[in-house]
Amino acid sequence: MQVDYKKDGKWLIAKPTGRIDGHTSPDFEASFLEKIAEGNTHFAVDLSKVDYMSSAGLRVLLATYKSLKAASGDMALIAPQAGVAEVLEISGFASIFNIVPKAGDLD
Amino acid sequence: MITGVKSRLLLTLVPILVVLFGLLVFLTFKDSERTVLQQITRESYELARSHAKEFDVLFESSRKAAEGLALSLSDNEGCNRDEIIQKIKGNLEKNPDIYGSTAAFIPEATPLGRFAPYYFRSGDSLAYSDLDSEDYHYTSWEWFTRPVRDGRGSWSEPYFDEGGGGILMTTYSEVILCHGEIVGIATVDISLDELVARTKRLKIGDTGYAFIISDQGRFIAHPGEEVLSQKTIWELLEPGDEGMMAEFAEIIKDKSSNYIEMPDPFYGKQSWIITTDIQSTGWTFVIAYPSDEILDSLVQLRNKALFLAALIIAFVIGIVVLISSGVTSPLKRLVGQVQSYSEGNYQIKLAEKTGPKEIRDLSLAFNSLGGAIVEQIDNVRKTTAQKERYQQELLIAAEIQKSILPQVFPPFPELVGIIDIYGLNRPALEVGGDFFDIFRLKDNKIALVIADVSDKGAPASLFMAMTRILTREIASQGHSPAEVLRRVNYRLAKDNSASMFVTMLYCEYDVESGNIRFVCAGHNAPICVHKGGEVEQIPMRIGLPLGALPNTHYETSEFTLPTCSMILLYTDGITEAEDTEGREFGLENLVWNLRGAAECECKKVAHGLLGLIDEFTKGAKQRDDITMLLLCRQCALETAFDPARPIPGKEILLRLPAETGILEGVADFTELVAKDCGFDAKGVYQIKLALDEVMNNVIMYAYRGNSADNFLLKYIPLAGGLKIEIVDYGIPFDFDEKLDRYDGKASEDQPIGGIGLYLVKQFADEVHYAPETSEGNKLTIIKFRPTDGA
Repeated sequence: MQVDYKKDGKWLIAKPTGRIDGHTSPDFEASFLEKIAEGNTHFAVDLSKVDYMSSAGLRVLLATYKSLKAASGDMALIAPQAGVAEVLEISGFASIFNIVPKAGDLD
Repeated sequence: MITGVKSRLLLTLVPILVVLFGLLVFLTFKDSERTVLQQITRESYELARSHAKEFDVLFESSRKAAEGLALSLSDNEGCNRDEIIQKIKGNLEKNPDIYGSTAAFIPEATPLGRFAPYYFRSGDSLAYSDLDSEDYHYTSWEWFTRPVRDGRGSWSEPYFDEGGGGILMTTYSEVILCHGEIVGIATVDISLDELVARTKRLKIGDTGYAFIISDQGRFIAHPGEEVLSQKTIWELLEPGDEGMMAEFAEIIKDKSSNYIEMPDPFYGKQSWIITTDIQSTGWTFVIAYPSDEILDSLVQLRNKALFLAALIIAFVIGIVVLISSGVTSPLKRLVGQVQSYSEGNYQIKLAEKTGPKEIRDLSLAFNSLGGAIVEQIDNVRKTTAQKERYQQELLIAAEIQKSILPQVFPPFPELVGIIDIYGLNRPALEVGGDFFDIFRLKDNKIALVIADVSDKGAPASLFMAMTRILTREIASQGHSPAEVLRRVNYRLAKDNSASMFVTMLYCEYDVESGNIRFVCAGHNAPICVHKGGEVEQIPMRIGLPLGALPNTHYETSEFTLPTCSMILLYTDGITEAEDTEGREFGLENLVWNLRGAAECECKKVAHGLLGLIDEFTKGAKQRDDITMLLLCRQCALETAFDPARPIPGKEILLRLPAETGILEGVADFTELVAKDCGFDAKGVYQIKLALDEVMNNVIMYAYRGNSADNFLLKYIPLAGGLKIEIVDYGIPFDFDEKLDRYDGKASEDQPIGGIGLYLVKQFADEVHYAPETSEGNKLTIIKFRPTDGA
């Protein structure tokens, strides 16, 4: 499990690397929620380095999204790879997440 | 650079001595010089005084004689010539010192007229001479006129008496009075020859001399004849002369006694000039004593002292050299001997029996050091030799141990093509506690034994040897496997003073049926690699390790090895092999790496595994013995097989532990399988995702994440796609209900759950779930390749 964090204006950009599956998702989730608990209200997940994401990953994103909403924050996803994009699309999650092609597109 | 003891001593001592002695000699010399000068000048002065005195005595007596004569003639008007003559003669006879005498009268003053009879000594008699002669005319002579003029008696200047034989004389003239009027002069002549001769003879050192200067500055009795001219000192003086003669003249003029160091006025030699007055005549007695002669003895004394000092210094140098040599030469010898130490020659004894005590002590200390070194070297040599011997013995023991393990493969050439067997043992130390054994039993059965003694090294190897012999011996008696282990255990436990134990897996393999009867004494369960690549850990009834308690019974487990399948017996040295950071190789890793290895050669698998372990441990020290024993029940047809890849078109069965850690590996494997089945990247991704979701479900919900449980995964290639079966033995779930939980429309308050199964349904073409069948809960996924134009 590897996540790189980078502050870009008001946005905190999380850039996980590798797989987000049932095995790794608890770690990612803990990492994300910790950052939000620190008071980051604008949280973006850069998925460009995630080559695989199962529903466990979707759950992580959803949990993150919910805790951000509770803090009146905002969340975005950046540049998912094809497979991940398909999962987001088919699962319907693409409709609730703000997905942008690159970090510069965040508002 | 001066470093030697000798040089240091000499350089320090010699200058000090030279300075000290020099100072001593100088001071002594100065002191002596003063003393000697004082003494010599005093002596010379005394000498001069005594001589002057002698002169005085002579002159005084002569003067008195003259006075007596004059007195006898004074106021004596009646005196006739004869009487006068008699008186003169009597005077001469009374005073033997007097050479001649006369009484000369003023012609007009007495009736005697011109009368001056002179008597003088000639041999033993008296001779007469009339001074009133044609060619003498006594009244004009100075000896006559001066007293008459002065009216008193006085000494004449010394003179050479021409009439009396050319002798140096002086005359005292006294006035003869008559009624207070001077009527004549009475004289007494004294020959100065005797005195002059005595003065000349006077020895003042070697070259010193004495002389007399008259009142008028005339020289009397000077050793230099040329000086005895008629010239006075005043005449010798050049006008304006300020040289030594002038200085001398000044001294002479001063009538007091004197001594002074100045150049000799006549010879120019630096001398001590000592003067004393002859009172009666007012003459001066002079001694000239050359300074160098006075100091000569002193210089000699000084030279003697210097010589003595040099002698003493030389003596001191000798002593210093002697003493320092006494110190340094033993030291030099010591240095030589110590150097031979550094060349490794410690046997040399430093025999320094001479020299100072310290050196001898040092020598003794070195001797004992040498002894200690020799002893130490000897000890080290012995220890090393002993260590080498132990090492040698260990190597021999290792060799022996290796030789008692089966080494010839295949062990049963008659069974080639039916079974393949390979065993491998690599001890952590020289000798190990692991062993394996393969031997034939009756009824076409083969015994496979693998064991692990609870320790490593030599004790373990002995215990291992004993166990191996016992096991073979008892097994050969035809007992059942459980009975074999019971008996072996009994024998081992009975005499187990070291409280060692050994885990063992004993297998009785039926070559015909492939049936295996296992008895497990605390050992790792064996692993079976099935034909299709499925890997399974064979369940065991596990008993106590051998040697722990004497009365232990063991139970038998059974397993039938299918054809084209392989069984691996191993010790925990494999699963517990650690890398440099302490991570274990692990059972899962072992299982994972064995998948699809069934049809491989046992030897290749064994060495492949060993290579994997070494790669994993990355050079970390092997902590435990590694032992494996593999048996493969061969199928008739040989197939080329890469253990890292599935066989295209063949079914693959995997038995997997229920933990999420396997997901990634399975995904990778699935990718290979799916690609082999002709799926494109998207299809591969969808299959991977669908299977991943299902497996995650099984692990998390059917088994609640309990990794102790296994589930089966079967890949079945289809003509147009791939079928995957997942069989678990856990809690079944309500497939339809779960499938309905999510409808693909995500909302912000979306409950978490059901999304995975929704994705499976979206990505797979068919999903079937059959809970609680005879095989377990079976979920089937079918995915077809997209047809052209579809």
